[in-house]
Amino acid sequence: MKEVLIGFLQLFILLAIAPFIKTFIHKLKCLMRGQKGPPLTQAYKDLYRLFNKEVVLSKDASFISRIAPYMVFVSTVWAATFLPIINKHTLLGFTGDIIAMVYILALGVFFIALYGMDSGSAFGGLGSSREVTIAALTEASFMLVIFTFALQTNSTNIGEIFEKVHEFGLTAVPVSAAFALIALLIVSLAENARIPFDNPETHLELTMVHEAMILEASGRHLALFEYSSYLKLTIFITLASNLFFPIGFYKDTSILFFIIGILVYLLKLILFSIPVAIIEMSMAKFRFFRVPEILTLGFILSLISLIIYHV
Amino acid sequence: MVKFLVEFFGALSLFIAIAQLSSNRLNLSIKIYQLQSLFLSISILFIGITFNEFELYLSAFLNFIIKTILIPYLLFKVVEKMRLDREISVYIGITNSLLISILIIILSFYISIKIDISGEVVAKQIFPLSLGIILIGLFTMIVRKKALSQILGFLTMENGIFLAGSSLTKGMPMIVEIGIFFDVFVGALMAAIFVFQIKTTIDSIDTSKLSNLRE
Repeated sequence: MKEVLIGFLQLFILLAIAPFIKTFIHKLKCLMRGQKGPPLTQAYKDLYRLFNKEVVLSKDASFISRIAPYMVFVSTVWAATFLPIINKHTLLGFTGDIIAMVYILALGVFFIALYGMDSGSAFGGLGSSREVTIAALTEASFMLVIFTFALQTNSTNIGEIFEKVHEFGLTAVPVSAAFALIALLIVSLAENARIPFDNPETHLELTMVHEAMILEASGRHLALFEYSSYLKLTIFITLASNLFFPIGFYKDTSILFFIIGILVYLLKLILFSIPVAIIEMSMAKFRFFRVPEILTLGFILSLISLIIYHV
Repeated sequence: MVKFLVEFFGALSLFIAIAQLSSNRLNLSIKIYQLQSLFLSISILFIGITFNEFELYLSAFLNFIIKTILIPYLLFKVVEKMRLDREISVYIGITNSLLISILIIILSFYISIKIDISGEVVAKQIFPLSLGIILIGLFTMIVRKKALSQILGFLTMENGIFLAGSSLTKGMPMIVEIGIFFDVFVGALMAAIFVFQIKTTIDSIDTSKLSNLRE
């Protein structure tokens, strides 16, 4: 019973913090540009506003347009139920491991790509084609990064991976960790449609990937898409922060450890969001044909990290 | 913990050496070199903290001044003054050269298992890392056509040699170190002048055109 409660608590924290992280990164970018930026509650307000609006569907839209937003949202939340943040007891942790989490996230990508093509607009198809290209190229390096940690901890169960990383630390394998960190950074930026690969802020037709697919969405559907993209970003940042900054993950399940764990977790999230904002500030978006080269770099780094662990 | 940081920043230098292979602009390459020198100085600083040697602190500082500020400044000036074409040109494409770089790194780690280093070593992995940086610098010199990219490959190699030297020897004598820095700086200066000469003679810094016949 206690484990179920802990699972619900962790899922609730993830769901509650996700819009904040997105606004925080945006705010940080605005501050670095010398702008004032939105208040930190902006994403919550946006979601509230969008949920209250009605959905407008194209007359050519099939049933896919109706179910895709829910499928995307449900698959992202489903993946979030696998992810421990302060304690290894998660809601669905017993049903699958970290590999299941990666592919459940990929299910969301599949439905969002279908959604982009469904309404028959030119932009949607373009966005879907690009998104699937990027997703196919990132998948291999993401899995290799995960396998590096699975080998280090002799487990693919995500809770056990985190627990053992927090127990032994990364000091035993610093070289492997450095390469895995950079590879995971490249993968996360590509998967979450952040700047060198895609621009989350524009609606300029030639540059968008993720935005192009959800261009037709409105109201409730748009809110679901936005919420799942916030959640996906938070999932990646949580994964990175728990793997590479091993503090604040406790076996103990008393209230005190929970409070410390949650506070440390928030600090880690903020710490790991800063590089994302700095990269977005200091780089321009790549040409699309340059993207495979950078993703190859990510793949190579993850492969090196796996090899070095063995040497 | 300090050993962890030595290896971590050494690994980041190797990552930067690989990233050098994936850059497609001359300016970006120079910036990447700058970042590599920065990580190298941090790594040497931590080696210095481990051994607590004054020479290593000094060499970390000189490394920072010369390789992170002076040489990149000089190279940026060269690019700016000669209005070079910023695109790089390569013999082997970026994706393929990245794939070959995996083999190079496996090789350097494989070789260094066999080498038995006697004496006190600051961190076990730092030697294969610096070997990897040296070989990737060499590879950069081979695959890039433009003279400036080749200079950057040479400087990357030199960074690798420097990392290996500092980690294996507890810091070289100060006079040797200052001599090396002077050599590198003058080398970069002369190479820049060379680039200028190549540019004025054949109107391009593409070294593959050097063998073309001219009247």
